[in-house]
Amino acid sequence: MIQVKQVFHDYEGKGKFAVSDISFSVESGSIFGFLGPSGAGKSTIQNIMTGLLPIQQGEVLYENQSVRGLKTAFFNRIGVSFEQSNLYASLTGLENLRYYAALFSVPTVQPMELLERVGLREDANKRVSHYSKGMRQRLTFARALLNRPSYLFLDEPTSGLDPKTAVGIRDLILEQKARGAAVFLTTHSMELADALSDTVAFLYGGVIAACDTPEALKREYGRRDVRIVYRENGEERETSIPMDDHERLSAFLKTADVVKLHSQEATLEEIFLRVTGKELTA
Amino acid sequence: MKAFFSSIDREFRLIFRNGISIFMVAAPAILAFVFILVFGAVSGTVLRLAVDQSITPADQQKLERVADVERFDDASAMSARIRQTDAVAGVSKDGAGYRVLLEGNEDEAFVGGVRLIVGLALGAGDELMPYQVETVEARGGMAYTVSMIAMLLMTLFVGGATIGMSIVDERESGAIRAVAVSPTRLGGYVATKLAPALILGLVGIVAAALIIGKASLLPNYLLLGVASVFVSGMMTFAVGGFATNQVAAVGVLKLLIPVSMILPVSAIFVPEQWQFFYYALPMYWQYRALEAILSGAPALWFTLLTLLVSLPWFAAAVRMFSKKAVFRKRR
Repeated sequence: MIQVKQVFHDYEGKGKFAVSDISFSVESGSIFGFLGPSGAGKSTIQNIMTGLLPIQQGEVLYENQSVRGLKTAFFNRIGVSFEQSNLYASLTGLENLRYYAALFSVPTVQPMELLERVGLREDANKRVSHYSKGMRQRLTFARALLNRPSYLFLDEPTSGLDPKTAVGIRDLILEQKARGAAVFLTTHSMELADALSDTVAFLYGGVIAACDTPEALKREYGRRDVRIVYRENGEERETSIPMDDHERLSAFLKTADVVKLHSQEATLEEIFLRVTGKELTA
Repeated sequence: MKAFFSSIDREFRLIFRNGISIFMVAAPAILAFVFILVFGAVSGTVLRLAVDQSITPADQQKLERVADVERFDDASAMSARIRQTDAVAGVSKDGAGYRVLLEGNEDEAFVGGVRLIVGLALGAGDELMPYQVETVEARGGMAYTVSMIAMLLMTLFVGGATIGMSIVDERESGAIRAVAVSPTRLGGYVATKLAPALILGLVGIVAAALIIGKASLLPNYLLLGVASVFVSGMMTFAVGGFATNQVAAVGVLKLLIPVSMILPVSAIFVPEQWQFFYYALPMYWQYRALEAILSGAPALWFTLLTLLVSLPWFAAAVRMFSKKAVFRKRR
């Protein structure tokens, strides 16, 4: 379990905090979705959690042990997939994985096995400089899984991937959860977060605006609507009416020339908009 | 150890897949070739003579026992040959005697040597006393000494600079961040950069020594190369710490090259009583060691000083690097 407690970070030391009072926990065998626009402070928190940034204020605990006092061996237990595909471009995909695998002092997954899982087996011996953006993203993701991490940090893992490949990556993430890893998922993709996360946190302006399970957030901030496509003056139009507004719904259905009608649930995107007043854009 | 050797393997793969790195690694050998083109190789030094028609074939044969002889059809062609940059003396017959022609800028040792050898060769019968040719070129000349030391300093500089560029590449691509969240300690990372820098430095200085014909001094050069490990490390982490991209790295190298080569060699022009200004500079001790090696003087003390003086500089460079890059000390 990872616990983040009242973390603050000020890059310039001038009292302007990039993140303030951030607290949450990530259980082992669960996925924590961390959502927020660019500049919200997601990377700051991930960097503090992975030891790339020193903690200034607050605490990050792994199984009740502070990140401040973590020993080298701890880094055998974490895996990080960065948003930027930070690979050795002059090495092949296989050489990259072999090199990083050698850095761990615990048994690692066979690089070829991982390349197979992310669909790069055929390109294993190609230099990364010849990979497409999506291929690099998959290789970066595969690298994070080399040491079968107990704590897995994923930053935009499906960014730039085609739908079929993205599904494969989602399955792999769920596998990590199933084997007991605590997965910290940073993403702009509400769909991905909704599909995978057990808990989501909305980060906005350096503070957590909301944090709960997707279902609970939808219950609290969302509403179920009926989406109606109707014809008016020869043109098709569309409207949404809250499902619990029976009176309005009934009146509309009696008068309108309805073409299509279906119920819809509030999306995390809409909830984010309601909670923060801002759209979640990259 | 698995991580260490894997890192070294990766380092050399990256170097030999990058055109700039290959050029940097090859630079000492290229410079050594340029050096021998300008000054001539020292090993197997032979006297080179030019003769004209006035020298009989019998006399030419005598001269060929002691020198490489080029024959020219007339005196003006021979003069033109003598005026070329390498050390060639001309011999012609003048009545009953012989005349030795020189360009005019040779030092006394060369002039005396040529006179003696030519005299011995032409005066001898069928048997010529065996003799050993020592260096006949302007060995003690300032240009020769400065160029030789600067070139050898360059070979020691290149390893550190090349690996420094590799760190910059890691920082620019972000690959270093993935290393920083692995079990790699700062010390381990530093060791995996020092080792290839040292290997490149040693290979460079051995190649340069062989090419310029200083093979007999190889043990001294190798010892200095090993003692220069922290100088290379200092360069590596100065480049890797100050530069975050390849363009900035070139800028940093432009600053470091004068500090590494021109500054220490400038000590040649500084009076002895002011030399203490250089004492804190490890490259100065490299220069002193090279100067001693080249002149056949004991160089061990200067070699040791190179190691000792460079250590605090190296530690400072690593400290600066660890602050600027993402590596933090771990237990």
